[in-house]
Amino acid sequence: MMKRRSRALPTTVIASLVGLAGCMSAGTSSQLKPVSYDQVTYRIPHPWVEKYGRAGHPTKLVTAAMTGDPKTFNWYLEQDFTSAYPIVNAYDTLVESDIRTAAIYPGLAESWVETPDHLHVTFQLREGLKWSDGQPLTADDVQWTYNRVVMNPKLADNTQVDSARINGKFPKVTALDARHVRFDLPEPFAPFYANTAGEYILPRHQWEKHVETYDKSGRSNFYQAFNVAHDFAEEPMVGSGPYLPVLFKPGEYILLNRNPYYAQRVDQTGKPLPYSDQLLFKITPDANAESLRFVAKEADIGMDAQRPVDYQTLKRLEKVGDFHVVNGGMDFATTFFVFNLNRDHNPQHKPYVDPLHASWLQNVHFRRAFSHCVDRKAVIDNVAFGLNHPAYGPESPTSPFFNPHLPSYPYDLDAARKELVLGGFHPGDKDHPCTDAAGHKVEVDEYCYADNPNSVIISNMVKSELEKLGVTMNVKVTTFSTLTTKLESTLDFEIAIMNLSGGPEPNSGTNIWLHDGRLHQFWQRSDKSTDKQPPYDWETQIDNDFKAGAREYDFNKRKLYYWDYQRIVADQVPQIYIYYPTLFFPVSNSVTNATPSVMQEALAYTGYVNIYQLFK
Amino acid sequence: MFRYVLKRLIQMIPLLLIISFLSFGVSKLAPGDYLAKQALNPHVSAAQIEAERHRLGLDKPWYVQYGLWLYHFSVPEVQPAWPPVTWQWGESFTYNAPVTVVIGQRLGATLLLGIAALLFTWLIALPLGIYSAVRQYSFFDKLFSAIAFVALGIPDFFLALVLLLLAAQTGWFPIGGRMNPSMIVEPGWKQAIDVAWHMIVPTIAVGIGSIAILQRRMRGNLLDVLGEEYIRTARAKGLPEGKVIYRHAVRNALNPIITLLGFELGALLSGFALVENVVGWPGLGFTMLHSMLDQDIPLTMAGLMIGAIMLLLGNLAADLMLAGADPRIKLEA
Amino acid sequence: MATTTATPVQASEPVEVVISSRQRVWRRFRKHRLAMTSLWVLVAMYLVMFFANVIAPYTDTESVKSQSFAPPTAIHVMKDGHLTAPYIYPWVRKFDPQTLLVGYVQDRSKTYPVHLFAHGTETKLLWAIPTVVHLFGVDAPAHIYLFGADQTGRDLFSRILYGSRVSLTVGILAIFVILPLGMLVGGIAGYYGGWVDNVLMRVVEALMAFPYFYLLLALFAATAQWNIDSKQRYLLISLILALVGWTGLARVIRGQVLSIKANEYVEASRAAGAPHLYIIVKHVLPQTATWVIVSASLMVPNFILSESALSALGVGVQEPSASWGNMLQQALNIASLTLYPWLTIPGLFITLAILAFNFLGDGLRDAFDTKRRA
Repeated sequence: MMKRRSRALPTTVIASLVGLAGCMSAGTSSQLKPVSYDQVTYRIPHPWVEKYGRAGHPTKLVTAAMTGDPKTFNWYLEQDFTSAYPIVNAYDTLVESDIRTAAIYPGLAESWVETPDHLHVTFQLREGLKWSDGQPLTADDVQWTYNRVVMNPKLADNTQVDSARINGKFPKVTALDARHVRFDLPEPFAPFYANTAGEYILPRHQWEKHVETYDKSGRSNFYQAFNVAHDFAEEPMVGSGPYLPVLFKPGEYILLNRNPYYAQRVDQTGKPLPYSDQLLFKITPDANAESLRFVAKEADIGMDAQRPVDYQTLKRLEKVGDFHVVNGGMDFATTFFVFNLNRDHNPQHKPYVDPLHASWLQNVHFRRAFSHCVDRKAVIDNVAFGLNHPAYGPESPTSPFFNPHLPSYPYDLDAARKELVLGGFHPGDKDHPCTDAAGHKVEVDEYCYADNPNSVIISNMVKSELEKLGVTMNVKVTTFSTLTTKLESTLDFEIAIMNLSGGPEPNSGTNIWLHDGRLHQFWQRSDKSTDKQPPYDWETQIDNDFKAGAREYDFNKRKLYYWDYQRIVADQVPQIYIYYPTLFFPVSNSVTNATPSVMQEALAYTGYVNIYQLFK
Repeated sequence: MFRYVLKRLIQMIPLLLIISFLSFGVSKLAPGDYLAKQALNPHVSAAQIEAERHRLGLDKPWYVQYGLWLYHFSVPEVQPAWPPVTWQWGESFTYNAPVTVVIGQRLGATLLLGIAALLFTWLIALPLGIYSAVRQYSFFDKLFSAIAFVALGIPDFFLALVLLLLAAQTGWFPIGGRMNPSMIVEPGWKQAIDVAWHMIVPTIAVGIGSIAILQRRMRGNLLDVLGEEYIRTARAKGLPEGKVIYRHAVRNALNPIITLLGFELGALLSGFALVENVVGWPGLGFTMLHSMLDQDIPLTMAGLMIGAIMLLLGNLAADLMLAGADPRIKLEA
Repeated sequence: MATTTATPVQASEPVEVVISSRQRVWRRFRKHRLAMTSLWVLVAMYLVMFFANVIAPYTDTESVKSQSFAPPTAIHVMKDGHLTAPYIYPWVRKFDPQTLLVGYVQDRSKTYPVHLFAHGTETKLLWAIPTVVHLFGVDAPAHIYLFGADQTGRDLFSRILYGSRVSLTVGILAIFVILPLGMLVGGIAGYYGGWVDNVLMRVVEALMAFPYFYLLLALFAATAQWNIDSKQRYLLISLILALVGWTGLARVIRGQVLSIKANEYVEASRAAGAPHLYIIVKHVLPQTATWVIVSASLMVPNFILSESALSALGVGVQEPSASWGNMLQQALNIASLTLYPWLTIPGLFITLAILAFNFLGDGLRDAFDTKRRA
């Protein structure tokens, strides 16, 4: 009887599986059909003419690989790259950043006028702008986005509110008429245009109903708007950008169609952009599988940079997959050791760091010796196959504000010994511990996180170097979230290894370098701290550099302030930098005009700012 | 029988409460919470994080948080729009969307893979195991044993990666995904074939190891049973060998295997997280893994609850099948 | 069953010699050739495990910055056309500035003979006798990498030997926890049935549904601050895995016992007035022997496999300690499979251990089987 039952079972299951698989993907194919190139007839009188790349021809589909699911389609709630990639193609900003130089050029606004005191900026929008549903894009949409979304106190935790602030205060945004918007700044602010390039303008007629209605708990429906449950068939996303998402299959792909009313850009011959009718973002959670997509010719471009280890394999497989690997340059992201120089006391009135250990950490000679013990070349050779560049400061050489005259700390154990002696220590060697002036053995704890295996390797490499001087460093492996809890709230660590991203606009580092900044990890100020101490002199000097730099509009004068803060950091080494990553991007040989670079990565996470220019 | 099933179902409720309570307690062992990684986001101010912490109830003691979660999970929400009552199991911290939606989007794929793997494994392993036992020490027995052992020894995620590498270089299989997007416009049966093609790599990766284990088990059990007295009796009575083996021996050898089926059904949702991740199969496992790492409580707890329910139901089904296969077993509540 | 031995006695009076059942089992086991081979392989593995620190030329944490991903050292035995004592050339890393690719070439400027019983780092034989002698080695600054080096220039051969200490012991410990608990609870539940079965099985189910991965993650994060080394942390984690893992065995045993208790000899025993526990242990549970033996033989390899899965997720044995699992995890990417395939050698050892344990289990099962067709 058993056999009979079990024979019927598989048949029914298989049958239902086939049915299940089939009806799982029943899409309404009509709304998924894009507008083809020839059907795009809408033009505006003064579009932006592309400067870079070659003029191309219409294309059916460009496929991009990305390593994760978007968590939302709401730009003002997104916090990671994978959510950003699809959205940034749906909207535009008033001004844009040049993909090669980060210089500001016109976006939705074709021109702007600034008063000599820098306090009033009036933008003039291009004539004839339309949303993807045909509605006109006016200054009212701009002021509504700023006033009712970005600066709306009920949406206080949106991700772009910080970029709109000018030294903590908001500007006043008013629509003067259909094509003019005026910003009244509370004080002069040099990064104003760079920050504006990250504020995407939303269509008031689609978003107002989400923002201005509230759910049972009093929270605005804005938070649920365009989340991953959104049905694009029922409520198509309206935007001004070149591509709009029309279909999302979680874990699989996002399909974007051409915006029939996109007319803001034309190519060098005056023909409309974008060339491709559709964009397909294929989602591959695993970095290995993502690399393999290129080998299997299943993707044209990759939104995420490849790791150096992938570069070694991908380069060798270029012929098999008919693609080439582009060197995107030195990234702004930093990897560093941070020392806890906190002199405040914790809520129990005890110092955060044991006073004996604190005396070593707060000794600048100890930190300089530590920097001499980091064999950056060996680290880069082992962890990045020689492809990264040694770093001695917080700004990347790709940044226009990079200070090339910084003191460096080459790997030199003798120099390290000399620094230790200058600091009052008695350096030892493998068999004899290093002691401080009072005779205590020098032993410190360092935290790294298992999520990033490189952090563990680097920590262990530095540990072996320190052993040669008799300094013991205990490497403790934990998880990323545990470590961030330590760095952010409990503040009970001695040394930690960390990664942070960066960008070409140094003012975005205020969170790290202002003494009360939220990411000021080497002396994290907290409301819960007791017996608070005044900042170090050099901390205050860095504060002043940032404040002055934000008000200085002349580039050559401005950069001197940032040069100064970099010099202080290199001198006082509260954070010891290890390397700048080099980013690589695979690009299929069938695609033209792809120019991935670290600059693009840093500009509001776009990865491919000129995706509209790609053709096959 | 009906009363037994009813009783077991009712007993599931306190059991689920206990399981959820324990799981919640465990999750609170790890330091930090969902908002910890927000701390590194330069765009969000400390005040905003505290406000969000308060809104999500993460600043309250853990038993209060448990109560909050339980409330949101079990009580359907009434709302003015249609449908008037929705049961959403709370809202995911990460996605700001109802948990049921986040899970629902991915559940089908994992179930599909799970059932396919189950069928693949069982339909191959059981016959092979029976054959090996009946023809013990024959060439094929030794061959299957050797293959089984080698297959046993390779971790499934590793095999998945090797298969992917092979696929990339030869083009025999697609790299990840469930269906080619261009298939959307095709008829249903064509879509089903495309999905099946995408399923080959993950199913093989997941199934090979299981086939090996199951084949060994079946073989061992059947050898045991074939040595029993009543088998000798049946043969002495003149029953044809086929009936001896299939009607009597196999049926009795299946006892522990059926119990195994119970666990397999229960583990259907969670067992493939690594392989799904490596292969790019858009299932639930990977999302659950990340929700655990990120400490997204509503999503994680919902996943655990589903797993627990499936486990309990699977065991119940196994018990019923046991009783069905062996009339000597009486199930009493 | 009795067997006869050949004795020089008159053929008309055969002498029956009774062998103990233990000897019988051993004899049957010896007939199973694969099982015997596996037994020797395992004995060899465990022996090597004990002497790992002397057999390995380097320790498990000795890293050499300049030898990251060095390939297995080529051992030469010919020089100028004749056979000589084995010698090696050291590897030197070459970086091609054009393609930005990295490779290794042999530095043929000086030969380094391979010494038997070479001098190496100080270590303790069997944890007691200090010695500097290792089985083989080469003079500094060259290194001999039998199985190549990993990312930080550590010798894979040495790490595999040290790693065997973790991988081969954890499963054994688990057996001592899982087998008794699983068999007893399953036996009692199945035998008594009724509410006893119900309660016990519900407890088992509660434990089964327990998110052990979650527990591991939480433990992993919570114990990072304790001053225990990673091997001790792993032992703790394994203990917890075992305490949560006995449930599967319990359920299967219970299912079998439900069938077995209906047998006549069990009835007879009960009628004779034997205490219940005695019946369970002496009559019922031995009938589940096959499943238990096979389970026990699968337990060590299972633990090795789960350790490797845990390492892939980041919560297994941590760096810088070695285990076959976390070494395999480093091989889990395209670069390793295509450029540094020697990183997958720990996988071969895992497979070897699994094969050996399984054949052993097979042999044991066959040897203990009292009803096998002779």
